[in-house]
Amino acid sequence: MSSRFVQYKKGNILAENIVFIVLTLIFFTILILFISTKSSGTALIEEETAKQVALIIDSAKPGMIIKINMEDALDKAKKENYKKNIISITGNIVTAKLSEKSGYSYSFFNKVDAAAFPDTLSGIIKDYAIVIKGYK
Amino acid sequence: MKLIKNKKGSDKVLSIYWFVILFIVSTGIFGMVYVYYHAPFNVRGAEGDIMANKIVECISQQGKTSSAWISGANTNTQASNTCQNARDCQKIIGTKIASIISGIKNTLPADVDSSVKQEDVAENLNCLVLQIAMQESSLQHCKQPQVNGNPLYCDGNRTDVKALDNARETSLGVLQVNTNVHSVAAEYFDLSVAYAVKNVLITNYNQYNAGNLFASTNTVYSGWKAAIRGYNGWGSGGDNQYVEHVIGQKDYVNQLFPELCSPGATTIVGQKKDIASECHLNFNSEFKEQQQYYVQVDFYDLKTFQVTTTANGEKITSQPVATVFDGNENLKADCELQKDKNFKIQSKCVEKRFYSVDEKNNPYIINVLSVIRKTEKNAVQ
Repeated sequence: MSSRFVQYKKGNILAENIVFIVLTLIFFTILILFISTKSSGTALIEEETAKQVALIIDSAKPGMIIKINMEDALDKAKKENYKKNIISITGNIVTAKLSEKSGYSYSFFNKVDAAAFPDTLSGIIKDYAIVIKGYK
Repeated sequence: MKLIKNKKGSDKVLSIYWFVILFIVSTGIFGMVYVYYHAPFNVRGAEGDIMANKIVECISQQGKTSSAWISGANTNTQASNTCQNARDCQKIIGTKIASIISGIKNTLPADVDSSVKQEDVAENLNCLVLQIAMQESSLQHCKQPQVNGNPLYCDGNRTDVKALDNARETSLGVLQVNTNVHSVAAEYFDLSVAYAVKNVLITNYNQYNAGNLFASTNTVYSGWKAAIRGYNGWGSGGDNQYVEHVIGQKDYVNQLFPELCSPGATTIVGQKKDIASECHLNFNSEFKEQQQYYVQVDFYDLKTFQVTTTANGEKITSQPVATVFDGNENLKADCELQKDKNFKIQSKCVEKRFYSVDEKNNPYIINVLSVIRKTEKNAVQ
């Protein structure tokens, strides 16, 4: 009788521990998923790209061609099934767009005629070329 | 057996506490991650830095600065220094007072202009001081309005400086600083103006801002009215209607100095110049309602250039010989605030200082200030 009781008790503790470990794992999984989703979000990459390009244009001089590695942004656009140019420049406003529904714009103050193209020279598009044509 | 029972109970309690702790910790982490990734990238510092560099390159090419930048601007201390009639002399004296106030503005409270305007005593601090100078001396530092066209012929010469000498006071100069009370060489124009503003007017404002009774008329004055009252003194024997008399000078001063005192006038002494076009800059942005940029370039004579070191860094104490600016002038007030503390939601200010010479090899220290607002895209969403 005594030994049966001990066996039953042991099993009970094990089940509690498993539930405890599973719940803890679920907690941490949700946490990690939340962090990774936030850190690689479309909006975040769009903002980073638009501001980066605007600052590059601000510090550039006429005649310069600047290549920027856009692999992360292009991968994200591919996942979002977005096939158009991810960087566009209209007037003095840079727009980065990685999906049909989103987009982020930021202005630059350098009064130059600038344009952004995907760099197709290497076959696979990894870079974008920012071309500074001249002062407006 | 009793011991085992107790142990089981403590295990269950522990696991509940564990989940409570886990919940609190994960809520904290969720919150931190959300705040961190939700906040926009603040690139205004880099943007301001690039803009200041662009202006430096534009003004000085290979160490040489075109004198057109300096002579084309309103030269603050070398502007037409001669006059023949009283009104023109008042204009010269008034412009110099405004220039001195601009030079010490960074030592005064940041919201000084807006609070003066709010209380409707004057359009801004410059104009309030001009109104006081008008009341005290009719904007005249010397006994005569001018000698050989020079309204400051007496500067530093005690016997020729306008004075009020009696048993109560020995007041000197354009702002009639009472040298019986204040230990200052008030016969020197620059010194007496800076002292009167900082040590008399502003001190009275700080001391009696909340309100103080003027016993002679049984009137309680507060804010800038208290500062004006304090300027003339709280005791008996002065002008009992001094505050009303100073405010009464508003119309005359506004007429005499429309560039400084007309409604909406800038308090920056200098010239608005199209720096944007000359330096290939475009001040338009995605914010259509107001310009997001401001630039100011101050030219200092190297021979008289002075700085003082304070806890918040270096402060220029000398007067610029010329100032040019462009963009949204309202943003400059944010820079004054940021000298003590960096406020995230305010415009970002970047300053650069460099040495240059003009075509005649006259040496200058040139201070470039660039201000970027774009708050909605860099600080708050």
